[in-house]
Amino acid sequence: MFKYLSKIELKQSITYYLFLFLFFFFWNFFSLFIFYFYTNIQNILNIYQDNLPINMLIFSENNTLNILKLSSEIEKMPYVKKITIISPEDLLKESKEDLPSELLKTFSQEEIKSYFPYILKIYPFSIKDYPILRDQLKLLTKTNSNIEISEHRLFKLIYFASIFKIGSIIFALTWAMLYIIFLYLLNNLLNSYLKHQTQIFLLLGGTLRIFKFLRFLFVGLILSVAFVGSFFLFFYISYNLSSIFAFFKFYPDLSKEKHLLYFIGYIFFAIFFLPWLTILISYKDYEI
Amino acid sequence: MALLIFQNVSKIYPPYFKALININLEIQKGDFIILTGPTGAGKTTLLKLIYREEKPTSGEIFYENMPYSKLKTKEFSSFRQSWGIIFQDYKLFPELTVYENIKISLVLSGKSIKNIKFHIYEYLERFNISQKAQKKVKELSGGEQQKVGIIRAIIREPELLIADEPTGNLDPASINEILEILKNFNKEGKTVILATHDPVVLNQNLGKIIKLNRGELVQDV
Repeated sequence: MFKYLSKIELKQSITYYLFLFLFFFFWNFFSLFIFYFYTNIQNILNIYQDNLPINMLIFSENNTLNILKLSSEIEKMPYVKKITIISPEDLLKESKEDLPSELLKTFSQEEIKSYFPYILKIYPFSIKDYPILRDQLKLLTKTNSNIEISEHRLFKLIYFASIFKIGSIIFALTWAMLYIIFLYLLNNLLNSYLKHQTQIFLLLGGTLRIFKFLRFLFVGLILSVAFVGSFFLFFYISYNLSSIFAFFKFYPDLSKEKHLLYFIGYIFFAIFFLPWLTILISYKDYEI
Repeated sequence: MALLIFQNVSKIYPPYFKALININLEIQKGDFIILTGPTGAGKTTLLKLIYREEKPTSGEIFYENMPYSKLKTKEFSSFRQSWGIIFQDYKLFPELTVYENIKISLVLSGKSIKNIKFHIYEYLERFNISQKAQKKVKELSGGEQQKVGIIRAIIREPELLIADEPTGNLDPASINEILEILKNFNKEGKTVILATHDPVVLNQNLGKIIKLNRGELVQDV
């Protein structure tokens, strides 16, 4: 009987199953990439997001006391986590090797130092505070022409990444909803397509259990095959991407317990739980 | 003992089509019931209510004193397994062969038969369609499909046989064959409910005639 019911199911629904294969192949492929980018972005953010300073350059100021005074005033401002002061001496030491030798020969160290500013490295509490604090500090530059604000060169990239991180969670949820809706609609479509046969079977004394099981078996099998296929494609592309861009690491890193758990959870939900749930729901009104 | 009881049963198809109106009926175990009446009288609807393809709008049906409304799907499935139903529109699996259609029914009935294949072919021979056993049902003529529908129901040797216009597309020889089978079934103490407006069948004096007209029980002979 199992054989005959499989025959009915497959003969009537083969096109829809092919469609399911294609859909899941690409859905899973992009899902893995969402995870890949998300974890990479998170990784970059973990390194930089709370350690990105706004540099305030103060020129033509020889009095260290004034610098300390300014620094303590800025420290009282909201959003400021800490301030590090780099004096022209320190700056000269740091940049000595980078300066052209002609310059070092022509000018004395004191003369060169006088060209260098004091740098206040002002750290906001988080990357989100960065633009507000930067705007507040810019106000100071308007009252004093010797003060300049210099933005970290990676700021725009990291700020965009932090927005993308929130966006990617919303996108992932929408993406998951798309999959659930697709599964539900597909099951409904198959059910209505096979309604006549299902009803005959029930009228002969059969139950829906075998139909649910069969559907789950076919759907699960197709999803598993599509998963393996698209995972290999993802692996190939992301592995190459990671070897081109060094800061992109390959994810999921299955040697890490957390990643492994997420990955198993993802497989469980995508291939087993959600299909089973949508099959159960779709057959709700088919009992007679 | 009453096998089936209809208690004030009405069936209204939305919005206002009254298919059955306040039916009160008792069918005893071992009865041969012939439901008759003109087209649209409600015969098929009444049968559909028995095998619960439809549910009544009001009233209650009892099978062996168990109310349908309280029965769970699983419990009702086990009733259906012991019944044989011949549908007016055959209700066969078009993608399966004649043999497969009959086998599904036999397996679902739970009857333990040693040589299923031999058993099925015996019935097919009896109805002269054994040569079509491996043909898909959709490739058969209306009469042949009706024969498959009949075999599928009677091969189970059911406790209750429900037949909706089983002779509609059959030749006279096959009609006699099926009526003979139904009679023998009834002689074995099994209950038969037959819906028909075929005068050939009605004139055979097979059992109790129940007449329906415009959804109402007009004669209970």
